[in-house]
Amino acid sequence: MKKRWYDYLYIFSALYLFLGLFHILFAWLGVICFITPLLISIFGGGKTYCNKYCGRGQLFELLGKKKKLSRNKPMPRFMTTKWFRYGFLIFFMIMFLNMIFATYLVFSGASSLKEGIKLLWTFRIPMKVYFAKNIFPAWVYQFAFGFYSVMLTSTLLGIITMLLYKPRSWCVYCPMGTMTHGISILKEKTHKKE
Amino acid sequence: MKAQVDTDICVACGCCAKACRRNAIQIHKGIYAVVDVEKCTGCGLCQRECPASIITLVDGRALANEKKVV
Repeated sequence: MKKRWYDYLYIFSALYLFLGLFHILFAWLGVICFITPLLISIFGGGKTYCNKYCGRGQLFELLGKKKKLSRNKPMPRFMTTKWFRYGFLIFFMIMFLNMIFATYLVFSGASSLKEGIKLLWTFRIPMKVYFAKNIFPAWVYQFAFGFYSVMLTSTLLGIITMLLYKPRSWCVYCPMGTMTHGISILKEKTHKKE
Repeated sequence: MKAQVDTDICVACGCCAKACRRNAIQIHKGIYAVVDVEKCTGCGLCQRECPASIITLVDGRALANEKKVV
């Protein structure tokens, strides 16, 4: 099958993780992967982002399918249920808001910048901002650390389920996917009422 | 043998549509995957890809999601 430009977006996903280690401010680029899918589904594009442009999904596919790292076994039934998917979304959102709140505390001056990333919302990995530390206000760096933690944690979870189950198992419970799926269903329902 | 999608669990990730060599699967409005029974040969590529493992191959042309598509 002919490859299109968007079939190479996995390069950006992989690059993103490396750039973040190089300098934490690159973490801000990840906001694109949060806003674009939402905008696409809000404007009626459904899950086009997941279907075509999601670099992370492509990365899992590449590692699991082409590199044959995946066991290729069906994932547990409960992980495909609405309860699990929306439950994970809520959990994810609480952790996300928690991160936003930490950013706010730094913004308001109530707490100082905490350098380091948190893996799986628990394990703190020390990490320093080596240069360009005083160009932006402290909260910009705090958000970057928090956002990079979110991205790294979710990639890690995705890699674990990629190895254990099918390559794109993450796509089933991906919070962004659940949101865009929910938006698509809501849009369809309201459209029918009209 | 035709492919059938369990639309209640389907998250419309698009893995099956990508895997289908005959372009027989479309994602309906970002909600679920729809198999075009005319095009489907029942090769099972989509079944292999589906991360939620909800695609089954069944005889005949009846599809669970046919009624849902307007």
